[in-house]
Amino acid sequence: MSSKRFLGLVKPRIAMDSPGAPLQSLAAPTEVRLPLPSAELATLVPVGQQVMCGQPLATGAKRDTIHAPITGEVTGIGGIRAASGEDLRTVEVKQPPGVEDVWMQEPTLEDPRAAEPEDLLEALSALGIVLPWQAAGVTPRTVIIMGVDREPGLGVQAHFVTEGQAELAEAIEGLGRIADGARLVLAVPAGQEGQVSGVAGLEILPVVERYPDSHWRLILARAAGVGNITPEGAREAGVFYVTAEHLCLALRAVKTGRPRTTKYLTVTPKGGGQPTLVEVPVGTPVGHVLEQLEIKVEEGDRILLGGIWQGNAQFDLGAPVTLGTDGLTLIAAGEVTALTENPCINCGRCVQICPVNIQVSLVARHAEFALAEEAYVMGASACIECGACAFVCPARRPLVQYMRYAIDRYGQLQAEALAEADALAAAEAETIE
Amino acid sequence: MKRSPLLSVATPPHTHDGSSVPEIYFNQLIALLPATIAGFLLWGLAGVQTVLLAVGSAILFEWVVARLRNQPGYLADGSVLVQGLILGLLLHAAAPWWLVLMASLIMVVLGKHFFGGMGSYPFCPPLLSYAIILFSWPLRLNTAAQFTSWDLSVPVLEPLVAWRAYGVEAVQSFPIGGLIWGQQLGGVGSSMALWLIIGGIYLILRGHIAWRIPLSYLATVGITAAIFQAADPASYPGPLFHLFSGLTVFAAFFLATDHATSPVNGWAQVVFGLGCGLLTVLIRTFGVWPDGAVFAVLLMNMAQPLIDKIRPKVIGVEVPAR
Repeated sequence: MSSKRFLGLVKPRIAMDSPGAPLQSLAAPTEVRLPLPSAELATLVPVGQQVMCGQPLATGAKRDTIHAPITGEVTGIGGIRAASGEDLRTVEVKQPPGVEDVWMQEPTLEDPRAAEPEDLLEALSALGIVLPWQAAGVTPRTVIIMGVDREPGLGVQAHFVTEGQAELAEAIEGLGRIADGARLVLAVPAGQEGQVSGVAGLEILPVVERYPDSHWRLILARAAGVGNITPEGAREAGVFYVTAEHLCLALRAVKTGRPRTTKYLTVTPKGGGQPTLVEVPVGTPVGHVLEQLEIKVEEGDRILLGGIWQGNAQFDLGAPVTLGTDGLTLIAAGEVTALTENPCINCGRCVQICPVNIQVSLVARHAEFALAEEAYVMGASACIECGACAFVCPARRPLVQYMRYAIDRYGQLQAEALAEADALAAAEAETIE
Repeated sequence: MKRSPLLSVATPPHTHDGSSVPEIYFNQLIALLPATIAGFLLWGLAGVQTVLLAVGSAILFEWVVARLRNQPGYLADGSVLVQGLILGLLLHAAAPWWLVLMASLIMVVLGKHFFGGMGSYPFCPPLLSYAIILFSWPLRLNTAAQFTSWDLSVPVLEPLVAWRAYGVEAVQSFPIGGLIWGQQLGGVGSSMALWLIIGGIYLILRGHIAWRIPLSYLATVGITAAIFQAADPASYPGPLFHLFSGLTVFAAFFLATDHATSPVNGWAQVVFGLGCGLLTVLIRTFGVWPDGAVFAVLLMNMAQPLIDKIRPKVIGVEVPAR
């Protein structure tokens, strides 16, 4: 999969190409597996219960709720090992043959524009939609509406910015009334600043059409007035984001009285073929999406939830689509780039392309030899995991993995040191007594 | 749901620009080709013999060492081919066969693998080997009389030796055009200024070497030489003589830019080139050895970890004030 140009004097330019694919509708799955993103969510239904579309399955302290996307029977409450390595609890719902989808209806707001902010908030809350600052329990200072996709090749946010401007504008207006006077910023690809207009008080943040400069974390950092930021840091600074997709789907939920149960996905077939945009229920197994689109999967292929830059490779066609999944990307067995354990030759390409100026070659060599602390201090902590370094590495070293390892191992070491100090203090206290 | 086919998993990113280590060395090989061919034409069969012996023996030694280290993959990356070629071009056409073998052995075993192999060596291996040979058998590397096939239109003296031995008047016998064309005593291909520049520019354009190192190296050599000449034109030759005689161009494009032994950051590369250039002229002017480029680059290789401290600040994850 060579994308290298003949001339290489300047660093490679990775364009943020959004595939303007038309929206294609798929037959609904008869089986979904809904991951519960937080451990605090309590399940509301026992195994064997019949559920309707939009019926709450699990809910948290902030009334954040997971709803059934199909009508059927709860067949299991279990867990899956996500490709990211975490164990997620899941609720499984199966639709027996012949059963039609029936919706559980919440009260609707006919005209959200005319509604009072309190009514709007109540309507959202009743639909189980909790905005990120509500979840964090703080007053937002800046709310960014992400009209830029996570990475090149995905076209979910682009769809809402270019096809659904009127809906997005209405949703942003509604958001402005419930966001406690926060600064509203719409991040859009540069050149598309005019897509959404006429919303009072909305700032437009043009984002350069180049990856990794368009990385979400860097957009958050820009809005916070710093160079780089973690999601936690952004929360502390009062900077939050909602995607254009989530905002529009929340508006639809308020208008229809049906909770948000779907997710938009850019599906890219093998060989980088023509992508398709689909809307599927959350929890749909990736195998169902591929089957519907008549995409064949063979031994050795790679299936990514997400895109080629940040997507997680799945080991199972039953892996569910989650709210954080913007893409479903297939790579044919023959097209995968094998990572190696080649030594670093110090060519410096990773250093030149790193958007946050990490000395990647140096940090990765430390991580490689288990010097996690040094690697962390030298800059691994700033890594935004955009993947640009590994993209240009001629030795094909797993650089992002080395960064992750350094961060993770450093955390472990800190925890161990803390535990040791605690044990020491306890022992001392005991001797004094 | 039926059984999943066995899927391949890996960590992101799942894309690559297609570059590879063999590709880098293949391009280095292409870049060295013009100078190699020009060297063969000038030195005839003796030059071919030296280069082939250096390359062949380097590959052989690498194969043996890689087997001993149980890392046979090293041979495939092409680095030893390029390093063998660089060594062959540095040595002169009439170098005795045992000297070539010795140089090759030192390069592969001491220069490269003693320090851990690819990417780990502190000194550019062919250059380190050349310096050791130079110290150990100075006469074998210096004597013009050893040449058996020699074009008599070329002065029978290395230009830098001529200057050091006979003063700045002797420099007049080396027209700059001839120096650029490679009409000077030296290694098989290491003094083919024009052809090396063409190869070097090719590498820069393809993005395989950093343009800052050769540029700041050559600029510093020129400026330093100009200052010396301005101070005392009777004792010091001009910048063009320094730029195109001896190893200056070869060092600037092919030795100083060796990835493992040169810095990766922009300003660090400028400083590295500057140090190389300055030391080259200073050693040529005040040192014992005629060509300072060898030692200049080796000394700067030694300073590389220090110079690499010149780097942009990591854009860290500071928490802004609320």
